[in-house]
Amino acid sequence: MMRAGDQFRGAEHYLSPGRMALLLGAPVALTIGAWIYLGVMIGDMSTIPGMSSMMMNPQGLNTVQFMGLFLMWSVMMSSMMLPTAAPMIVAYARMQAYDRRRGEGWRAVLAFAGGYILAWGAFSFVAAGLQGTMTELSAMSPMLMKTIWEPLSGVILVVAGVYQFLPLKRVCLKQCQSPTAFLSTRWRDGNRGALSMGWQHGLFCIGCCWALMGLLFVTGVMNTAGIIAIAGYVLIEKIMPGGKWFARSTGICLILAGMWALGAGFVLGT
Amino acid sequence: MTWSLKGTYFESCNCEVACPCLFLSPPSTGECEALVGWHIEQGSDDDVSLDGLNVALAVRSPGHMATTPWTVAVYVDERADEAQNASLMKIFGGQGGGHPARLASHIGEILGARKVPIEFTVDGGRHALKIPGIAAVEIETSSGQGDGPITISGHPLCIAPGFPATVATSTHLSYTDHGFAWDLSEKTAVFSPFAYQGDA
Repeated sequence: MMRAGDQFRGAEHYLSPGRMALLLGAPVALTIGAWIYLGVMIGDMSTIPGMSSMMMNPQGLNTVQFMGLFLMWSVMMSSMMLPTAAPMIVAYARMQAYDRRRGEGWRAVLAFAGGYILAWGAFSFVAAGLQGTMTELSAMSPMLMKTIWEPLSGVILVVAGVYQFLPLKRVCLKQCQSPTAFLSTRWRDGNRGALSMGWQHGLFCIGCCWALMGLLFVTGVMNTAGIIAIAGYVLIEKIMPGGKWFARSTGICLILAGMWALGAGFVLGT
Repeated sequence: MTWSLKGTYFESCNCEVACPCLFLSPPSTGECEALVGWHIEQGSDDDVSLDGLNVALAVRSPGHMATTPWTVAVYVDERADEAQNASLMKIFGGQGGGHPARLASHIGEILGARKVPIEFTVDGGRHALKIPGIAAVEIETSSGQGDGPITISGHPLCIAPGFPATVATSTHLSYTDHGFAWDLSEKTAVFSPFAYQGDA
């Protein structure tokens, strides 16, 4: 009679720490790799292609410099956002853990993380373009990588603050917060499906956080404190229950800070 | 490996009609107690025929179904021979991929799997399942507008994706096994056809 039980096992069998480690190994390695690379770049900016020449001569952005900025943003976004995607990636990995026979679980989990990184790569492309343009227009310091013009900082802060109140932010945040809801309603099979789902999750994350990422232009793009603060905030906003209140309070603070910067900018004439 | 299952299924649970868990809301009483039954009309796993077999699961989730692991007891039709039994265990245990694998990923603990006689009857909207000494469930369609059925479709927590679920109410749900003793009536139930296949 107990023969029927042989092949039907629950989580304690399929989701053993060893199995989960195997499935999550690749995304974890990617995350740690990104952190290390980011650390190297922050430690020595000349490791970023084109960066030294850009700091010396900010006028006239060339392709190498743009690619350097793109690389910098991609690594930074991966470092900051992969940890926030952990609940979703782990939930997906749990579903793959059951597909023991094909053994391609780890590839699908990697594809999911890859799709997510691709989405933030697209964001990085735009952000690099913005940074390059603002640097060329002397609105941004090539050395500190932050806005030199106070009113611009003010605008960025106010936009980020207002966005915290908008319906689009709420919708995107909701999608990010419940892995089960996302995976049950947007499931796609196989490795390609995993890539597609990771990409979609990434798009929701961008929808949620793009304005907060803009704050990097205010704190200084490669400023470690700013990076940690923004990434930390995004993570807390995602996992904290009662998120709406929290997001709105932060929105108010950002708007106030922005108005102060705008006011200061006009008063001081910067 | 290619397998496919088609048939009819129903679930009868302890929540008020209609079950909030389907919409990823918390269960009515804070925990879920459900009996789910599948009748396979047409099924095969490579060259093993699974036609006509029944499977039932007793599911308990001590909290929100999306976030709390489920405790499950498995019942497989005693008419299944060894090969059929192995196929059903593989598929419903989530090892065959497809939608059952997604459902199985919620399972935290298996209390046991038994080979038992499962009597599954469908009479219009009335669905009944009987496992002598263990379970007796009967559900009836709830009346909607114009005395027609009430349906839910597109719900996130879905046992049988691709088919609208007809809303029903249990006449009775009694289950005694593995230390549980459920005795409910007039609670939520849904039924629909189902179709699962292994991911190619």
